[in-house]
Amino acid sequence: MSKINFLKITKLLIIFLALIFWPLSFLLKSGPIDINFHDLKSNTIFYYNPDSLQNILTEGYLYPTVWMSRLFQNKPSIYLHRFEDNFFALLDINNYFFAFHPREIHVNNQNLQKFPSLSLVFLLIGFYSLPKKRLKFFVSILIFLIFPLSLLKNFDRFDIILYPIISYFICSGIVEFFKKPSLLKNLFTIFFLLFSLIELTHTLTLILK
Amino acid sequence: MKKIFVVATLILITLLGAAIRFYQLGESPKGLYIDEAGQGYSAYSILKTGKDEFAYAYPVVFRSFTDFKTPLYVYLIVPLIPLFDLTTFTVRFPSFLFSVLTFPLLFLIISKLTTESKYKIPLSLLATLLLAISPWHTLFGRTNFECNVALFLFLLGIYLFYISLKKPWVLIFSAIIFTVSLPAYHSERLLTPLTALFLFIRNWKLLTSKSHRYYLIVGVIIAFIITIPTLKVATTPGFLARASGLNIFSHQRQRPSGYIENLNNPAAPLVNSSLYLSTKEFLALYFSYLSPRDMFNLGDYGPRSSFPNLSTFYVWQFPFYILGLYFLIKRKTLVELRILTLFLLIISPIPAAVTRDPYTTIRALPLVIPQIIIISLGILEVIFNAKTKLRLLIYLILTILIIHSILNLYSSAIILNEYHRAKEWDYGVEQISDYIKDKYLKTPIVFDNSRDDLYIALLFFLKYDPQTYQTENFEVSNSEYYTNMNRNLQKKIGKIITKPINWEKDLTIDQYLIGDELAISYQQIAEHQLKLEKDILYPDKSHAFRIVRTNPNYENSQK
Repeated sequence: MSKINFLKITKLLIIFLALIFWPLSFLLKSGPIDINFHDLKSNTIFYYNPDSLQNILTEGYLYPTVWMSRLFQNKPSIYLHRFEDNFFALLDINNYFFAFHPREIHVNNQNLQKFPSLSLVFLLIGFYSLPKKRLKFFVSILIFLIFPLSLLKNFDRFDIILYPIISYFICSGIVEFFKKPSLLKNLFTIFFLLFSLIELTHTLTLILK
Repeated sequence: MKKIFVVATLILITLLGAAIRFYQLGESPKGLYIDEAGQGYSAYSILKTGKDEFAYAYPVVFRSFTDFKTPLYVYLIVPLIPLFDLTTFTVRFPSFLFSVLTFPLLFLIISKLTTESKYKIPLSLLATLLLAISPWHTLFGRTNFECNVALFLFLLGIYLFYISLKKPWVLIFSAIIFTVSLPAYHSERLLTPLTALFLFIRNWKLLTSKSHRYYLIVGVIIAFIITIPTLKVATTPGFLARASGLNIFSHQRQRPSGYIENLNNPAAPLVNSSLYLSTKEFLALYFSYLSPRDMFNLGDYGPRSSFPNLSTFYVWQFPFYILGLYFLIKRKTLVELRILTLFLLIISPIPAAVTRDPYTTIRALPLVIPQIIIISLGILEVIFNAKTKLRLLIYLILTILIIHSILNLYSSAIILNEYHRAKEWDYGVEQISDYIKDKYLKTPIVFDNSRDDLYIALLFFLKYDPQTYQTENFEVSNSEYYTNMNRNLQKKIGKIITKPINWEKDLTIDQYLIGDELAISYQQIAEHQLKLEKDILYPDKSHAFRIVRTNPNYENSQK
């Protein structure tokens, strides 16, 4: 087998390992999506929760002035905080590469392992190496997709729409990585393959258990 | 930019940061956490007797609750006690002082390392301002945490090093300061040597040249001499207590994260292997310190190392962080500042990432510096790239955001923190001490210690004579101070005994019982006809402690 063919196969294997996690987890683990079609608002961050409102009232009384109380304890801040929780969860590296660990979301989230942990390296290389215009374009699409997801009460499973964009960055990183081989890169490649295979086995074991 | 304007602005920023940290210092947060009380009383004991509470003279690490605290902060409190007395203010003052001293130091470091004149002063001033209002840095500047002092010394060592590149004799002081930072906090035990090595490798030609060689050798020798007391105990269980107990590679107490129980298939040795799981755990913990979710949304999970409703950075700083990161990596003209910032960004999470706790800001405090620099850079890039007409609007928006941030800090750190977190800060012991100060030497008192080591806070607030305490309470001999990890949980303070309440024996003696709501319930008070002397409430009106008096006559009549 020629060196070029071996490199090609290795690259394809890495791409396969990097991209197989999320679809596999999604298909094997995801149950039915729970949507309340009679009350669409309850599926968004604008759902009614009396405890949140009570908190606002209780904490509002602690402030020395009315304007300060209204500035920090108000109804819109409830929705803003929910939006922020979702927005930053969707931007969290650990969400995609470590199943949200160490800060898993324990309510209504499967905490899926979406990509192998070490493919984070390829993601970072992808971000760094992409031309500025293309980077701006794809990051804009990413933000454009994250925004509506952040408006949902529970974005889990719906966030699969981010899979193509993030995969693109990772694949760009893999392609860039293999442009100029070196000893260090070869060592990392071997480490990546071994580690990710164990990780895939671990993920499948968890799902199927 | 005129020098006088720059100095005036720096002074104003320093005063702002000082005001934010000094406001209600010692009163807010309410209460005194046991670690704070422990360090304060250790300092008091050293001042009065030259020994700590276990009668050990001038420890290199303080045994405390067998968590072996780093010593520098304790020794910093000692000279303050004659000035300010033994109070909550006193034990938090060193943290405040070094926190404020960090502002001009950061300014000097950034202006020293920034060669591009366009960035030099604006970046230095902006980063200092953001540090002054930083929730992360503010919290540790208002409470007794050693990490703030350690951060100052760590940065001072770096600054002196860069000075020494042109003034070789300063290298000796850099070495001394770096060495002193080692016993300041646990994280610096790892960060300081790594940083010293990095700086040496980066400048090895100059440091080994004729001009610097002599000072380098002298500095290393002095550093080694200063480290000898620490090296003597470096392999003892006491010195290694924190490292071995908390690190993710030690599986003495619990399984590694991700371990699958009851797995009996050929894959089990692989998927449950310690090496794989610990490596993955480390990477997950490490990247959480660089994740926007932890930085701008969740913050620290610990109730004492975070403010309610506030993360380590303000949400509005997020886009600037991303921009700043992009420009820092791409823009190579910042040279030394860029290299140092990236280096600190990469290594600062390491000491925290080897411990189990998710996103613990106390252990990763040095990370605030590169992240503040990155955010400042992002803001400056927006300003520099904006059209002149738009800049005024940007300045206005930034001013509003900064004012809002300060108010937000007040809202979370003073108002909400007092209401929600008083229990976490062991509020109530001072009130207990006020009540029993005329009684504890005459009347027996049982202080329930089922849930916490609050005896140390009693010692602190009662200012109990250390000599007497050392005589009446034995835990370990001096020869076993760093090696014997057994504890004597029962303490004697005058007529106070700290132990779990015995609901048979203790009721037959005329004495006070003190405990929380779980230890002394209303049902027990009614059942045993106890007299409720005092109910101490938290600011949210829930019960903190109860002081009751026993009724031996009733108890004996029931038998």
